[in-house]
Formats: sequence, C-alpha cells, structure tokens
Amino acid sequence: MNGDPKGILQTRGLRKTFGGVHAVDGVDFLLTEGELRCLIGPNGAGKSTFFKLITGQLMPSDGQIFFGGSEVTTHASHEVARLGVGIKNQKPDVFDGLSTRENLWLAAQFAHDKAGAIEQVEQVIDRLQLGAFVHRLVGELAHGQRQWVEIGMVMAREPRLILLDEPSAGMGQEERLRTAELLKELNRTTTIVVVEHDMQFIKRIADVVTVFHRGRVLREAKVDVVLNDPEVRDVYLGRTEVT
Amino acid sequence: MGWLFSDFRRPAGERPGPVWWSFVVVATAVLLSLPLTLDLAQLLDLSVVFVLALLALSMSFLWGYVGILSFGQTAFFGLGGYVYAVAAMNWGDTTLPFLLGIAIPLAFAALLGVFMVYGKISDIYFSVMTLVITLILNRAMRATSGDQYVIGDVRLNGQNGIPGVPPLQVPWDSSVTLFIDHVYYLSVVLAVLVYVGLRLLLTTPFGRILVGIRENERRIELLGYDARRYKFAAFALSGGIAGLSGTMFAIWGNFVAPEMFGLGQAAEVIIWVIVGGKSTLIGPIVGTGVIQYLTSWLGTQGVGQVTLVLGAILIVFVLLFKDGLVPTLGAAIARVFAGRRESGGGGQ
Amino acid sequence: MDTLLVYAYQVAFSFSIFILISLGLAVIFGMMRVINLAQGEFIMLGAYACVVCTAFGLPLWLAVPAAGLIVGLIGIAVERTVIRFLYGRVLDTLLATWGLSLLLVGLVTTLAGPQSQSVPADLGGVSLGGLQVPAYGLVMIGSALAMLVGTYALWRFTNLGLIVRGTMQNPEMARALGTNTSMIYMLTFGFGSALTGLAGALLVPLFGASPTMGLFYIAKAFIAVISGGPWPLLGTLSASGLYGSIDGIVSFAFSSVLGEIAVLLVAILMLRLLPQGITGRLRKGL
Repeated sequence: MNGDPKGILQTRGLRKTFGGVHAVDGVDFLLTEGELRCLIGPNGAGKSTFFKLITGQLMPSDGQIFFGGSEVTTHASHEVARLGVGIKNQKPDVFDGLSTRENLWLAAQFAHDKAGAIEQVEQVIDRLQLGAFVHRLVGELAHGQRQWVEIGMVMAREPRLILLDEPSAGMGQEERLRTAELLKELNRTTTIVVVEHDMQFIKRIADVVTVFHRGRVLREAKVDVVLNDPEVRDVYLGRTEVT
Repeated sequence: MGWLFSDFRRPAGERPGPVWWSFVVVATAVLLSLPLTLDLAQLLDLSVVFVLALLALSMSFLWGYVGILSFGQTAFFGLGGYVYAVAAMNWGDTTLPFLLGIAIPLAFAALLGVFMVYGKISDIYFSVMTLVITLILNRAMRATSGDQYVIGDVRLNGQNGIPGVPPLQVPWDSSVTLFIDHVYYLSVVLAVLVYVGLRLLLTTPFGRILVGIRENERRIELLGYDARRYKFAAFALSGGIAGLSGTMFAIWGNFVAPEMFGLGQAAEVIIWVIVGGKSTLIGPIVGTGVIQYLTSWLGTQGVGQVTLVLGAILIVFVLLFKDGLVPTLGAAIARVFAGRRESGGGGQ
Repeated sequence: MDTLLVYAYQVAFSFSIFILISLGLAVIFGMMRVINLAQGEFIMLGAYACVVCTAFGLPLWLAVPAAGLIVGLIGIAVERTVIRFLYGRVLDTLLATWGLSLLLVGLVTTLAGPQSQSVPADLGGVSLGGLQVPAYGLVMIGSALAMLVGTYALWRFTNLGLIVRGTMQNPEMARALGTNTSMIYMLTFGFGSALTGLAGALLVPLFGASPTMGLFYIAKAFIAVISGGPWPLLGTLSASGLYGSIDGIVSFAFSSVLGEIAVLLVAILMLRLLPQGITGRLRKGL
C-alpha cells in the first residue's frame, strides 16, 4: 500500500504508547510538497513524539508513515535521513566537542563530494552569519548560537523535508525575526514543518496550522481561523474539557 | 613560543601542521639512532615499550576518539601472539604467520562486532562483555595443558605457554632472521606508522564521523550515517592493531603465555592509556613508557606487589587526574605561555 | 534414574554457585547501577575473613556470617572513600573499582602470600540415589536459596526496602521527601558487599581461598546479572537457572572448562536475541 501521491509526508493512524499512555493516538497527517506547516498544541500534546516517530528515533506502536509516497514506518533514523528528512530536536542536539565548522562539515559531507561539502559549509556559514565562531567548540557557544549551528547542520544536508522542533526557543526578539525570515527563504526550495509556541512567530511564517491535543489532531486550518477557534483557545488556556 | 604547541592542540579533524610533522621526523630519527649508544639489554627493554604502545594505541583510538572502551584489546593481543606462534612453529616460514597474526584477531573482532555493535548493546555493556570474553579466553587457554590440546605439531601447554617461538624472517630470504636490534627498529617503525596512520585517519571523512559518534551518536544517525557500520569498522581495525602488537610481542619474547589474555594485562593497557591521556594519541605511548619503566623499577626495588601500586595509580588517576599526564601537562604549559602572550590558540 | 538425580544435583549445585556469586552484584550493579569490578575481590575477602575467623577458633557456621559482616563494613568504607564520588560516572566507576581490584589482590598477596588456604567442612557425604554427594553441597544450595529469598523479602516487605527501592528509582524525589539518599546508597552498597562476602565464605570449604580467586567468579557474576535484565533479583534468579543448568550439565558430561565456554557462548547469543535481558520485557521494578 502506498501513500497519497500528492503528499510528501503522510501518516495513517499513527500511534505511540508509553506504558499505557497514548502519547500519539491515531494521527492522520498529510503534508504537500512545498508547504510550511506549523504544529501547535499544549505541552505533552505529542508534537515532539510525532517528530521522533517520523524520523525513526522511536518506533510506532501502530499505524503507518509514508515519505515521498513510499512507506518508512519501520526505517531506522539514518535510513529516513538518507531519504531526505532533516530534523532539529527540541534540545540542541549537536557535537559539543567539535568546532562549528566541523559540525557543519559532518552534515554536508554526507550529501556532497569533497569540494562540494566544503563549499556547502561556507555557504551555510555565510547564510547564517556563523563566521565569528567557526573555530569555537560548539559546547562553548550560547544557547541561541547552538540552535543556529543545529539549523545550519540541517540546512547543509539539503533535505527535502525539514522538521524543526521549537527553533526559536531561547532566542531573543531579533534572532526570532531572523529565524522567521530564514524559514520563509528556505521554504522556497524545501518543505518545512515547525513546532512552535510563539503566536507572533507563527503568524509571521505559517499558512496552514495543525493543532495537536492529547496525541490527536484537534484542528487543521488556515492560521487566522485556527487562532480564532474557541476550542483551540480553550486548550491553550488550560481548560481541558474539549467537546 | 605558544605556536610550538598549537599543532598538538588543534581539533583532531584538522590536518596536522608542520610542527607536528617535524616532531614525528625528529623523534623517529632520535629513536632509530639510539642503538648506537644503548647495549642490547637496554634495547630489549625499550623494544617492548613500542610493541606494547601499539596495544595502547589500539585502545586509545577506540576509547578516546570513538568513545568505546573495549577490554577485548588484550584478547586480540593474545590471539595475535598465539596465532603467530602456532602458525610459525608449524610452517617454519614466518611471513604468512605474521600477517595472520593481524588478520585473525581482526576477523575475530569483526565477528564480535557483528554481535555487539549490530546487537545495539549499550556502550557500558560493550565494555563489560569484552572483558568477559577476555577472561573466558584466558581461562580456556589455561585449561589446554593436556596432550590432547595440539594444533598441528604444537602443544598449547596450558598455563606454561609456548616457548621457542621462532624469530621473524626476512620475507624474501627465510635464512635471515631478525636479531634484537632489528626487532627494535621494526617496533619503532611500526609504532610510528600506526601513530601517524591513526592521526591522519582522523582527518578523513571516516575519522571525523567516528569522532562525531563519540560526541553525539543520535545526531550522526539523524544526519544519515549508519553509526553501527563505523563503530564496527573501527572495532575491527583496533582488533587488527592489537593483533599486530601481540604478534610483535611473541617475536620480541620468543614466547607466548595465557597471561597475554589476562586481566592483569588488560588492566595495564588501561593504566597506560589513562595515565598518558586518552584524548591524544601520543599520550598512551608516553603512558606505556612511563608505566613500563615504573613497574620494572619497582621490581628491582623489591617493593613487593606491583599490582598493588598499579591499582592505587589507577584509582588516583580516575579520581583526580581524569585527563592523564600529557593533556594535563599540555594545558599547564599552555597556561604559562598564555600568561606571557595574549594570543591563545583556539580549539583544544 | 540415578543419573537423572546426579544431573539434578549438578544443576542445582551450579545454580546455587551462580546465585551466590551474583546476588551481591545484583544489588550493587543491578539496583544501584554501580559497575563494581572488585566484586570478585569482595568474594575473595569474604573467603579470607572466613579463614581468619576459623583460625581464631570460631566454628564455621559462625565464621560465615562474621565474614559477611566484615566484608559489609569494608564495602561501606569503599563506598565512602571511592564510589560515592563516582555516582553517575559509569565508566569511571568501572575503572576505579578495577584499580581497587588490583589493589586488593596485591594487598592480600602481600599479607597472606599467594598460596591457597582452606577450611574443612567435615559434614561427610549424603547418599543420593545410590551415589555419594558431599553434604556441604546441599548446605550451599540451601544457603543460596535462603539468601535470595531473604533479600527479596527485605526489599519487598520492609519499610527500609521500600525506601531503598524508591531512592534507586528516583533519588531527587526521595531527597525531596526527606530521605538521606547518601546514607541509603552507603547502606545498600554495604548490604551488597555483605552478601558477596557471605558467598565467599560459603565457598571456602569447597574451593579454598587464594588472592586471585576473584577472577574465577567475576565474569560469571556479570554474565548472570546482565543477562538477567532490569529486574535484578528475578533476572539473576532466572539467568542463574539458565546458566547453572548449562554449566552443570556440560561440566558433568565433559569438562568444567567446556561448561564455562558454553555459558559464555549462550550469554553472547542471549545478548543478541534479548538485548534487554531475560526480564527486559517486564516493566521495570524490583
């Protein structure tokens, strides 16, 4: 059985159970090539688990995942990555003991030949303005800078689909604006899914928003529709009796 | 003068600079000229340092750069020695046994790697399981004292070991065998080659990915690399180097015994690497030399139990000097120079 | 029928040795996650404590618990001086305890000499289906089971056991509830050491005491606890059953070395087939 030919990413009845708790509980999700989709929802809604299921960091308890039309449900992390899925996890997930340049190189090296990899690294350094700390160990950088390095690593791989889990967390206002601009620019060539909490940020970048709640998809609509939806507001304000 | 040290302090992934290369050339030249001034007994003592330094390098490569602590190195070391001894005594020729002494431990490491790396057991279980395997091999080899334990014409002799292991012959003329000073030259050249080879390996894509695995295995996987393949290859390579060390040990001493597999041997390797410092490749070589001389000095002083002292050294280094001698001294020297001049080198 | 009985005895005997040598490790490694490579030397210390106590005129049945107590106290001393600085640093713990292992072997060799010493049990034999087996073997089987059941009961049914289990599972929470977790770690380590010392003392009449005897047990103990998986006691029990059977049967039919090698091979296979251990599929608990 194949996925929807329109969708670059699709899940059917995706479910993940941790010791009796359904972290992701039957999610049907369809993403079209070229989209920039935002995922929102309160803490514990299952967004990060959803990302980890797609990228093979966790194995689904039930359901299917399709990428580019073929099934990847039981693929290991590196196999999913090779098909062209890049992810930035919620916590900075970088090589702390290596320099910024080495971090980027490890990412670029996979997809390019020797000269191409070096060129790609330089491009990313320029684009993200990382020039000031290419030789510093990433473990010594500030939180926001490490986020940038990680985004740079994802970019250097040139994936078809990028999953970003709270890319603007721990950043100042100016950095957030830069991140938003960067995502819009990346979106010209790449499909992107972003998990975010910052509504200003979401309004700035998103077209369609998917709302997660208790492991399920609660709403999926244009950003202004979703943000004015009383049920969604209830969920965010902490009133949990959703009907 | 800080530039003198900067070559040793740059990140492993970058190519070593001219200072490092000059150091290698000068050190090699000095070591190769030592036979002019030393007598044969001293050369014999010094040879074994470089033979065992190979073993230390095989461990510190795996531990310091890939992040896997394998106690199996002594198993591969012992296996290499026994393979060379048994094959050379059966066949008379030594070239093929020398190569087998590297190839069979490498294959054995690969076999274990299939089970342990692809079994996805955690790093710490990896350490413990390699230790268990070493112990069992040691016990098995000790139990081969009976007449029935014969490979070809060679009795394994249990815990008495196999004496009379033939010296290495020149590959093109089996009537020419290596004498003590030749063994010294060979050990120095092999140690330098393996040191330089591993250092350069770290600048290749393969080497950088290994370091990436040490730093963050999940991120390596998310970038699309199959981390298991790289760990497997690194483990097999280090098994081959340990096998080379064991083969050279058998050639050096004309003797193999189950102690080569023993826990005592395994502990000594760990101590060399820890004392020298596992975050560099030169550290373990220094550590091997220092501890070898310390133990033989303790032996002549009649202080009794050398293991007692080694045990205490191990505890003290783990608790107080985790980085080892070379990095600790390096950092101290760097601090002194940084105090004089403002230009501190980046990296570590 | 007779052969069957003898096999049953052999299996039970190997089983009890596995239980004895790995029970202390099940507490120290299985529960506390402290990889103690000096575990074999704690067995050795227990054996020597037993030898020394009987030399001072204590009867064997008193010397054994005394040895357990002595090694328990040594364990507490070790925990206070070395282990407590290394919690959470798994690899460093492993290395430091290995140093400790070497140090203890060196120390005991210096003090007592390298030769083996023993204490006779003098219980005679028991006829089992027409075949004589040493009565002391039955005592060992019984003691092993009693120690296992006793440890289980202590953990499961006493308040102290509950505090210990809580501390091991979530030390921050235990501290927040007012538990002195440092004290609990110390006591648990001491308890595991005492069990180990007891085992060493019980082994003396059969295998004697020598400085390097720890080597013979350390590998088996780790194999049993690792294969057992996340439920230390249940896991150790089932792994001991499995390896004890293999060891007992192969040793009796061929030789003890083949028995050990068979155990190792099965252990590696188990690791491949059940990387989480025998109890890995059960939910984490005791």
